[in-house]
Amino acid sequence: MPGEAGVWVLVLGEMSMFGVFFAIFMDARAGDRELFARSQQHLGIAIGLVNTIVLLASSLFVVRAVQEVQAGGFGRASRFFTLALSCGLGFMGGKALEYGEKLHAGIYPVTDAFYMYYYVLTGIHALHVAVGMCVLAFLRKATRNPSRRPKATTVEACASYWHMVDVLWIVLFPLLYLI
Amino acid sequence: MARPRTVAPGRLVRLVFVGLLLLTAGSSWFAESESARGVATTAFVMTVVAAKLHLVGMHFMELRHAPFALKLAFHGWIVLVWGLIVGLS
Repeated sequence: MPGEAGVWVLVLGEMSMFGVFFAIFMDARAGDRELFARSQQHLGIAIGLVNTIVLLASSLFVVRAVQEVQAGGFGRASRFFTLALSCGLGFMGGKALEYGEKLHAGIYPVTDAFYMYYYVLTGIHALHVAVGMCVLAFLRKATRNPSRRPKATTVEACASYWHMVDVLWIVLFPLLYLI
Repeated sequence: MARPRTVAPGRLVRLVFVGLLLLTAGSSWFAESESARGVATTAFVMTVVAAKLHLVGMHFMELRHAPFALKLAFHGWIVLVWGLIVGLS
């Protein structure tokens, strides 16, 4: 098993919770399709697309870091974690830009049901990204310290959490921006 | 005797990453070009999403080497999310 069983319980639990959120969003959307379609038109697909690419790139760097740890290349792993962390910062920067643009245009969580779900779902996801970035920062530091190198299973477990953040965004992006 | 061809792990994940980018760009372009976003568009986009989730799970989360029960739980979630989103669209 990649990582540890406990982390997979957490990952699958979080995925199940978001599954419920997706169902609640789709149920609300079915109740007022016209409003959801109209409000969705104000979302810029470009920034959502860029954020998707940035998160996918971060996942690639995390995979490469795990592979380096498994091969004993802790120095290279640390550099890959730095790159992944930079992508996480880029994602959060993109989200801040998007929120800023919406708030500047007078679009708030209370504007309508679509934007209430938009802010809540992307906000909860951003919170997970922030937690994931703390995990990446820990791994970056741990792989740089020759006297306290982490176990491969610990690194794999932490990496699984970061990939879960990517998995959730892979569904959220089309849910809010495309369909 | 010819050696079996294998792809280095680093190269394989880079190929998967390129595949994920192509699927993301393709499905975004398709959804944008469809003026009427009906159930068929949602089903197509969500099928691409399911393919992306499978690739991330198997190659990034290393589920290829995981016990069957874990693979089943992960893929069961993908099917459930696909069904919920397409069914309620």
